[in-house]
Amino acid sequence: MPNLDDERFEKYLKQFRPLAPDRLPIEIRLAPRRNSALAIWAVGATAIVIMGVASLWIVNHRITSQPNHSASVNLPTRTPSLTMRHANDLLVKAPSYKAVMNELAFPPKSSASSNDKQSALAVLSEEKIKL
Amino acid sequence: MRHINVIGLTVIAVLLSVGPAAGQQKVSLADNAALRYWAAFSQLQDAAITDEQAKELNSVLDKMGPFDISKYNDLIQKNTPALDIMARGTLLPNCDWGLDYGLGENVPVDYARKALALGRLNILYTIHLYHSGNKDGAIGALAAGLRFSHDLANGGSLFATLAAKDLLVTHLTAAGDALRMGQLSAAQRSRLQKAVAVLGDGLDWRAAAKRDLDALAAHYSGDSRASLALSRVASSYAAFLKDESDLPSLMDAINHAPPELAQLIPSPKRVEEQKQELSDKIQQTRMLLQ
Repeated sequence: MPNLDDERFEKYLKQFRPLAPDRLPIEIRLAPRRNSALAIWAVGATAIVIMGVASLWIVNHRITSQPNHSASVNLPTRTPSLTMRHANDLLVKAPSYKAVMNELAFPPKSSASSNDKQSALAVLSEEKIKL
Repeated sequence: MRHINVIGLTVIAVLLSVGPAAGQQKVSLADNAALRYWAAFSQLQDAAITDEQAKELNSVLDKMGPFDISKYNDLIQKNTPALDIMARGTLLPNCDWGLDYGLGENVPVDYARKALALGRLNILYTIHLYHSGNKDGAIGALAAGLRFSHDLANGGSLFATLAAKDLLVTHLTAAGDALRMGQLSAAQRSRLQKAVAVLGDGLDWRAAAKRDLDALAAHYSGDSRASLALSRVASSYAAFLKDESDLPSLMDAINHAPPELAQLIPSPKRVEEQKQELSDKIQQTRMLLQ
């Protein structure tokens, strides 16, 4: 006496057929890597181009804007940071207060000023010490 | 009974020692006027002035003679925020510039130069307020300027002290002019009186000179002869600034020091002149205020 349930189950299983395996996903992964490498190169190249253009623009801008600066007020540069030694040297060696004042308040003007104006703060910083 | 006395004394001793410590902790580190003054320096705005105006400014600051303040309105207006910050700083009781004397002679003293500019701007601001009819504002600015000038010398070298003296004399001259004009109210006079009273005897010249000589001592630490000479000069200098009749002893110490060291010693005569000028100016202003 055949077992009908077994036969039915066998028939059910026979419906399934072996399938050919898919290709390994390695190639699929390789494609984006190539893309990202290309993207990095593209970004790098663009950055270099932008930086080059920007630096050229800055240089050109400086050159073209130099004549305009001469028309503006050219304040003398401030004196470098003052230390105790420098201050004491000035106090000891200066023949008068006026000399200390000039040393600190009127630093040599960088480029010949186009006008006779000077820094108000430099004038107000002048010493009046008669040492 | 004896035990009770011991416990009682211990409790009192602990309370006495804890009290001032707790009080000190209440003063926040941020409540340091010097920090506010630095903020004011950072707000200083420069302006271009002609050589003629520069001469005029110096003359005004020297003699307080008549001049057209309106020419400097732009400079004053630009710097009003800096002056306001400075004035608020003068309300703080503590001023510590945080100078690192471990650097020896390389201690930066640029703050004194910046303070000189700010203090002089304050004089222009005072004149501007006075002539625009805001006498309360002018006296307030003068009082703030006096406190700021005094604070400038706190913990400073001789250079900072001399800059402070310069500002104090200029502010006191302006105060004297305002008092001589006789247009101040009782409240305004009282405000000036308090500001001048805080100045005490002036500045601590001995401490300032000591800081300068200590910096020199660090420089000559490897030279025993110079170190010994400097030590003698330092003690003579301190004695001289306490009693000027000690000048011969100080001059003798300076004359016997190695020449390269002697030439670095601040001139005692000039220091004494500066000290005396400030002292006289304070006395004159106090007499005007009476």
